[in-house]
Amino acid sequence: MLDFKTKLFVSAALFAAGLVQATLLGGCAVVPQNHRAAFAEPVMRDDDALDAHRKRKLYTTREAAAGGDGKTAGGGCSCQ
Amino acid sequence: MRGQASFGVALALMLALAPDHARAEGGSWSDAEVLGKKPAVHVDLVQTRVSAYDQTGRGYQSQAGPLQGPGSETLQVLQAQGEFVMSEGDHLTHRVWIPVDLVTSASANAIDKYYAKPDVVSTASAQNMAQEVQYELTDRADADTTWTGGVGFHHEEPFLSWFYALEYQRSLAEDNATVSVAANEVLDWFDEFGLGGVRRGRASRASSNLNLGFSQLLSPTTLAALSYGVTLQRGELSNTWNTVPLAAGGRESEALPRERVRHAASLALQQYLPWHGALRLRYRFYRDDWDVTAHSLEAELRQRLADWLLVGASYRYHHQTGVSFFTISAVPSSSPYATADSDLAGLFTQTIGGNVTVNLPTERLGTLFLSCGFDHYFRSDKLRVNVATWATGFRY
Repeated sequence: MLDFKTKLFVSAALFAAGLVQATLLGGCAVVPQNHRAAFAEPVMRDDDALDAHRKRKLYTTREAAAGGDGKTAGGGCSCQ
Repeated sequence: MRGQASFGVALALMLALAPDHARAEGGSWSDAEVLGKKPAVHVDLVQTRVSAYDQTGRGYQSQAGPLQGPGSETLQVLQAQGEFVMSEGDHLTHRVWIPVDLVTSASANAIDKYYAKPDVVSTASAQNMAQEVQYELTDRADADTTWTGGVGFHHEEPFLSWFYALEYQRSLAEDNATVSVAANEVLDWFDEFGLGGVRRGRASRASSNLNLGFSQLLSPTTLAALSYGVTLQRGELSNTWNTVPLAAGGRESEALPRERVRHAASLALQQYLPWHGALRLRYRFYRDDWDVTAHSLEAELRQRLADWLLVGASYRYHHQTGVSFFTISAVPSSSPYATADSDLAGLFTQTIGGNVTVNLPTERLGTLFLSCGFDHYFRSDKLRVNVATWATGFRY
């Protein structure tokens, strides 16, 4: 029976292998460029960094499990 | 006939005067030739956002209350942010971001410079200000490869912090897929306080994060994204003023392990809806070696009501188990570690939010946008936070 750390390591290794495989295979070209109009719609924009920061800080300063994905749960907070 | 001859001469002159490289590629034209030469420096975005947080609740780590707790977690934050994005030529993008937090907190103010007694112990309300500046430089090395480097500095009353980041992103399969690898490092240096609020010197911690991401277009209206992040935190991981009630009466300082390994994986789906709407779903799994396991589910629906008007609604559910050494009645001899911090307890939380955005094109200043939103966050331990936020800016 694998312990928790080993399972996590195996999971991370499999995920990394998947990324490497995706890189080597070049992803899947399923949508030609002239069929991507929907992604240019304002409702599909997901680039408001200030709103993302606001939400991230709301959670990282109040939940033990927040953070650790993309931005570290550190960097100072006087409100913990 | 005369008109046709003139047109032929004009066409011949255009071809003769066209740059050699355009014709060398089988008659194709470059972006600059079609769209006009891009200015050397171009401002892409200027925006500000102000958010106000109003929190109520009680937690056993706070001494702003009865000796055996729970103490007040009442908190108000006024957070102002400014962002400036500028592109330089075809390859470089600069981003400067400045957040400032003004906090009025029940238990956080830790300075003994201006007060006779540090109010980490005694006073239920004081003010603290935190400010930060971050700079990012993005280099689009070629059509498929992007590098981003970032640095940042954070300052608040008993706290200094430095931030470094590096990200590599590569587009694949004619931009159908993207792979990214990012590394982040945060170094914190802060005042350490004893149980009685006496300054004991300085403490530090380091947080190292590696993040892997993969996104893929699944259809002309569907985008999927997968990410995994691992974070190693080392050093003093407590804020040093949190306390733990003792079974025998009285309190002691919170004691946390000096190392923590955190794993987070998430899957996100974004679907365009044919009535000018969009649906975002995200599931996140979290696990760390302090025995916290968490599941989070987020959903957001956005709708364009007019060319200039967007509305959105969001919901988030989060459940986490507590750390193995959480207690509100500690027996010092039983474990070297103890915390009563409500954030580290087992709990579930929900967030309900909504927002409205107005986009107004202008003749000279790009698109003026105005946005406002409201979030209500509530936890199973009765902690409540109301957040109101406003943003305005120009997107050029």
